[in-house]
Amino acid sequence: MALNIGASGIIRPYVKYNAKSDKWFIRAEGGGDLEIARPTFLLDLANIRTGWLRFQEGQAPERLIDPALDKVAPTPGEGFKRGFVVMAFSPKFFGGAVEMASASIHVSNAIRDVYAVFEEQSGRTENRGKVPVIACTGADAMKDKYGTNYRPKLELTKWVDRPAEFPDASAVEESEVWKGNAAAASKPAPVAHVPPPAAKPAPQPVYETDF
Amino acid sequence: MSNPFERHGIGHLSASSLNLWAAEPALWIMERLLGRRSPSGIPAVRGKAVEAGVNIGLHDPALPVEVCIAEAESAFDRETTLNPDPRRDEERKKLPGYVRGALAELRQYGLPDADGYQGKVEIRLDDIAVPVIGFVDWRFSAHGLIVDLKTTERLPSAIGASHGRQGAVYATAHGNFGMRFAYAKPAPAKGDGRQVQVLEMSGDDVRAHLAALRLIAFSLGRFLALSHDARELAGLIVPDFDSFYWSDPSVRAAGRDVFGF
Repeated sequence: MALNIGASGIIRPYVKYNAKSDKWFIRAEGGGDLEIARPTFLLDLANIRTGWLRFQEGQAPERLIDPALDKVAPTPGEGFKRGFVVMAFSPKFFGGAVEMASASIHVSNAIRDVYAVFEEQSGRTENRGKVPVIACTGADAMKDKYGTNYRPKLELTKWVDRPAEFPDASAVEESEVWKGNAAAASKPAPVAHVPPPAAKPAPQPVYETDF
Repeated sequence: MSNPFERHGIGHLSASSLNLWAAEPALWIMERLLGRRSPSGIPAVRGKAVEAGVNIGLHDPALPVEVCIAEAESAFDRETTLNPDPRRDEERKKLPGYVRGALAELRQYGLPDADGYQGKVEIRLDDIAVPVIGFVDWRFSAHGLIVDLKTTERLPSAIGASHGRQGAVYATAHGNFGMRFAYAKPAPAKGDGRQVQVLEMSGDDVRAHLAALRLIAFSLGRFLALSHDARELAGLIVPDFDSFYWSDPSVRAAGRDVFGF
């Protein structure tokens, strides 16, 4: 029996988006990153997981996965950021099934928005049991205090049957999932009063267009 | 017939029905399966009456508040004429305060949609055979907002689960509208002077509560599938008569009749 200690030496194939350079990379055969064109791929959003991720130079990524999408694990410590882990599939761009994980705010926002579209469409009868096809059609430059970063434009273009090579399974190991007191962690923080919306100016008919 | 809901004459669900099933299933069985409906409690009547007064004040911003208060009092009196609840008079005295406070806050939102008050919404939950319906208080299309008014003695710091489920139904039925709950007290707080607290649900809140509603509906469906006989189903559940759900003497008496103790 093998001992469950030490490093396995196995690095899972991955795809990643570098928000600083607006470039996509996969793991090269011999190790290291290999740049690829803007991909079109299957994204297993039904099995996406969120959590706390920490990527540090020269170290294996660390992550603490939320027990559920609506239950946030407590932050494990300094340097961890909110992110996601999901499996993606494309024989053409990725060479098969790969893991996509990011704690970039811009990538996370792009995934959050495409997930909302996924949720809205996934309940339709014709999409049951199918997987969404996501196309990266470009990127938006996002300027903030850290300079210019890029947010990929991800579009859900269609739904297809799940290929046999793309299992319906979580991208994370059970050992990565936070096992603490979920009830306490999911207790909503006190929220503040929401002020009324700003008054809208009366419409000016001269500028209105008939539709 | 394989649909367990329709087998028991249930053509639709609602957030309040599912909340009751989750909180006190024995009362749900007594009311919804055996048809022994409980009279509306005074707090519920108070809420509806305040809504009625606030509603006419929102649709006519120039309408004096006194007229809105009179509307609320009239609605309250209509519903409580034969209600022996000792809290009746005390609650009636608070109606002017609730209406004033809520109107002061919500008139800032502008005019609600003309057809929005108590407008029926309907959504489907995945794999649940019957729809979930609800009735929204006000829809402000100019701002993309749904607002539901709650009367309360204490302002909450967060939207509770039962209200969250209700809001999740409304929000889901309205695409990308924001969902807000306006909690109104009868008088400004002594400390900070606040009388109304408006809280908004996040998209994550809506998704989480919708997922909970679906699971609760599953639980109910599985329970109903156990038997065609409502009496037999009632025999599987034990009521918690210490719960406030049973505090009304007439409800307690009906419970004794149904559950035998």
